[in-house]
Amino acid sequence: MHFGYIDPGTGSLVLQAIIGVVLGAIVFLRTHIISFFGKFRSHSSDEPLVDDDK
Amino acid sequence: MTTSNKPGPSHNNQLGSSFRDPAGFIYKSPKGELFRQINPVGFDDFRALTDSSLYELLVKNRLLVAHNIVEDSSKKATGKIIIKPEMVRYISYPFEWSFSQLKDAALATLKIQKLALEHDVTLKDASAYNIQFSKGRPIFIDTLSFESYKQGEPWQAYRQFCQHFFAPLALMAYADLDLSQMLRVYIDGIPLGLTTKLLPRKARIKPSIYMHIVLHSKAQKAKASEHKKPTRTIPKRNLLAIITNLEAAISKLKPLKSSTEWGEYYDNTNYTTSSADAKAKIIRQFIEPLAINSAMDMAGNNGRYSRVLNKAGIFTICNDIDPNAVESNYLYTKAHNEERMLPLLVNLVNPGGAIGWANNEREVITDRLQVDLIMALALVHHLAISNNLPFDSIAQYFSQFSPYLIIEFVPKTDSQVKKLLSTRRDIFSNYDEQAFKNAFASRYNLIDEKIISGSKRTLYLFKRK
Repeated sequence: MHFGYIDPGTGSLVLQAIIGVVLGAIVFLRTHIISFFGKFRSHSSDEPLVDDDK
Repeated sequence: MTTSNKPGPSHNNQLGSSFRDPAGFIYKSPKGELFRQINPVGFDDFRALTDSSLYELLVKNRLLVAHNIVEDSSKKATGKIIIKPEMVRYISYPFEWSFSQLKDAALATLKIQKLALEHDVTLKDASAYNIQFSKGRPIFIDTLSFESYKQGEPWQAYRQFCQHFFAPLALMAYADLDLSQMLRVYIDGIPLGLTTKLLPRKARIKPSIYMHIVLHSKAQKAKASEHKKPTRTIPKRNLLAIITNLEAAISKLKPLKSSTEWGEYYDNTNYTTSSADAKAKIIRQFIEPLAINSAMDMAGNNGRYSRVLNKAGIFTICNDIDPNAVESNYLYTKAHNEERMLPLLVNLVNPGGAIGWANNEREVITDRLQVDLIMALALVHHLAISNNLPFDSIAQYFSQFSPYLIIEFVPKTDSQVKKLLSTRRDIFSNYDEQAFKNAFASRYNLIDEKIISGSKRTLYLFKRK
């Protein structure tokens, strides 16, 4: 790893790895449980994504 | 603009805040124009932004300032790239923003980071100073913050994002609306341990706050004495999950409701509707023959009179000391897509700036400002009586701001002044209209004066000598 511009903080890097697993798993389960129950949603949860055509 | 005899970066006219990045810096030309120079070490990352469709996408969505390349000698060994970025009309700082301004700046930063990752680019820093307000909306101004994303890399700027954005927003939502002022002291964002201590328990146990602030602070402490090079990787989809979680958590935050002294000012004043309209009419009459393009309203509350200027095509910065009033003003600006209004949270008797290294990284208002007019409405009695400021001192400070001044004199017979003096002995023998006029006459020429009908107040139009 080559972080040079700012100090990312060792604790912050470790934390990301840990909560990334937890949050990633939640996103994964959500998308798969939703499709399992046949409910179709074009985007997962409520993130506002930018439309290229706007 | 900072002068060259202040200690700071070695390059001539390089901005006091622009010295940390070997990839490049911002400077002003002798003519006062702003340019950004990119050094060889920054070429690859700059091209990662501009060669991909990310640059176009961000500019089209008004998330990043556009730029023109004015010089490109990157083929040479000692070459450089010079770009001219799109300018914003006035530079403001995070401690001058209301809750929703900081929130919108945070969400813009996260949106940019998500879009960047889709193009295998990432933000190497997430400082709130990367965002400015332009045409009423937050926009990213640091073109050099982008660098290539390497698969598996954690977000270098995650800590900074939590300190600059999530921490103050959480404090304003759960502890006190005034806590954004801590950003004046903590130039790199509010420490997470301190934030944890200030948040009430009901906030600390909320999952997102617990993860990104409380646990984050524990992780920082735990690893503080470790000096190994970090090697953990994180798959991109997990990184995106973290950013989405931050986005969702911040979207849901609301400012702590409290009634502040000036929050409902324009509903609860001693103005009848007709005298408020009379005041607006006088302002219109004053500005009509003048070529005013930009203005600052020194105590504009929710922007009622700033909008009189906006209607005349004037870009107006509307300062006020009350966070609820500024918030109200900003929400109105958003709802009505106003492009000429910039509400800001400023305490005129203790404005910010001159912070950072050598007290030179961020500027005081008078160094940043270039407007034709300032308005000081329903203000002078607060300065002279509540703050014991002599008229001379007020005139001297105001004369640093702009050529024209519209100022309202509020006499002792006015009920607001009576209120101010109700709990103190009147030591202000010098507080009268003649003394006021004399003090301002030393620095200004009087152009016009009109009594506001239905009130005991007079509006003055001055031009700086």
